[in-house]
Amino acid sequence: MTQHDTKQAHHDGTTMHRRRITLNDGRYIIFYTFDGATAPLNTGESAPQPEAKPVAEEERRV
Amino acid sequence: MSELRWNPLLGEWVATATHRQQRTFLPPADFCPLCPTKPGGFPTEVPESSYDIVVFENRFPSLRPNPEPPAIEGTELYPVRPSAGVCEVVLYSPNHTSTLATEPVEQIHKLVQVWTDRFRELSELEFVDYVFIFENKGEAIGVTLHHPHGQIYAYPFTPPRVARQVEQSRAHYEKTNRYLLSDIINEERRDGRRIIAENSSFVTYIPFFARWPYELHIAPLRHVQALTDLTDAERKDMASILKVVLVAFDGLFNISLPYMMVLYQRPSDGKDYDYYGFHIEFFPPLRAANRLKYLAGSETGAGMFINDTLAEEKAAELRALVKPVAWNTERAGR
Repeated sequence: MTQHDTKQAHHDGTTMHRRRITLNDGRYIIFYTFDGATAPLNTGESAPQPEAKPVAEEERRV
Repeated sequence: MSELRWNPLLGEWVATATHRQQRTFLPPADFCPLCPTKPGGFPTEVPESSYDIVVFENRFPSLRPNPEPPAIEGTELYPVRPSAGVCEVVLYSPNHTSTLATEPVEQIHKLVQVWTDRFRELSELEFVDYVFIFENKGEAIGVTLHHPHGQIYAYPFTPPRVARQVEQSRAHYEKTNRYLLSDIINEERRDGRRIIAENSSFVTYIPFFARWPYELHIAPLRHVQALTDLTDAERKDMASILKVVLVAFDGLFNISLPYMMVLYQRPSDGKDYDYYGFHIEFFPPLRAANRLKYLAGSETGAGMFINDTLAEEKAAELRALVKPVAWNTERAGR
């Protein structure tokens, strides 16, 4: 199941984006990015296989 | 197995968390469970690499949102209760070898915003009375994973050391009609000998009453109770002064200094804590290069710290290591 819940707010001159995923063991993980600017370590490589696969996803910008 | 057991001698809760014995202990860098999962590599806690900061629930928590009932039956003398709460891990960076000190100030600024978001969200949970943000850094502190990270514990009660600060602040306010932390800041600034640095919104100092040689406090000049009370400009100034402190720490012995960093904020139990002041405290365990300050009989048994050093002298050492913070204006303005 995938859920998207997006909202946006501005802090300190930047925009904080928040994407929340529920893992299959019930725990959540939240990815924070700012203005979409990130520095991926694995650029150009295929998608990883997570230990706990996401079962629900919620995207928010706060 | 996890539960809260009441200590009637001290009037405080102790958490048992036997499952934590199984947690990963100092893995080699190639097998860090906090690094992003690499294609074809072993699965880690972080299935993606495209992020600035990541927060997730601890795989080995002391407190859980939906805890199991206590495994042991309590008595009138020894009450027990479920370990309700939240334990989160905060990854400061995808980069395994960085530390908060080596991250650019812009990244620390992002962390301050994430801390604020976590405080706001966790404070709203019905079963949470106190949100405790902290970092244990270095093997000397007992860190089991080197990847740069901090933690957040959301407790179902206000923990005893915080409760004591809150009570001291309340009593001081009732007696003087002044805020205790504001009086401490004013006293430190008036004296000046223990001040390390100051900017428009924050001041950092080794307090007059320091228990550790390099115990260092950071406090906002404006009296606020929590991160959520800070203005945008104050959050940037908080990042700046954190960078100043962390760089000075690492310059002390030219090592990545181990420390405990804790953020003290108001409780989240819905009551009024206007008299309490948000601040940060650092407890580095070193008293000299390669010499640990141990919490021995007096400290552990009596709660009476003996500091072998003078705060005034240690503050001078750190003050000499203060360097200006350079913001990348292009990145900061994004």
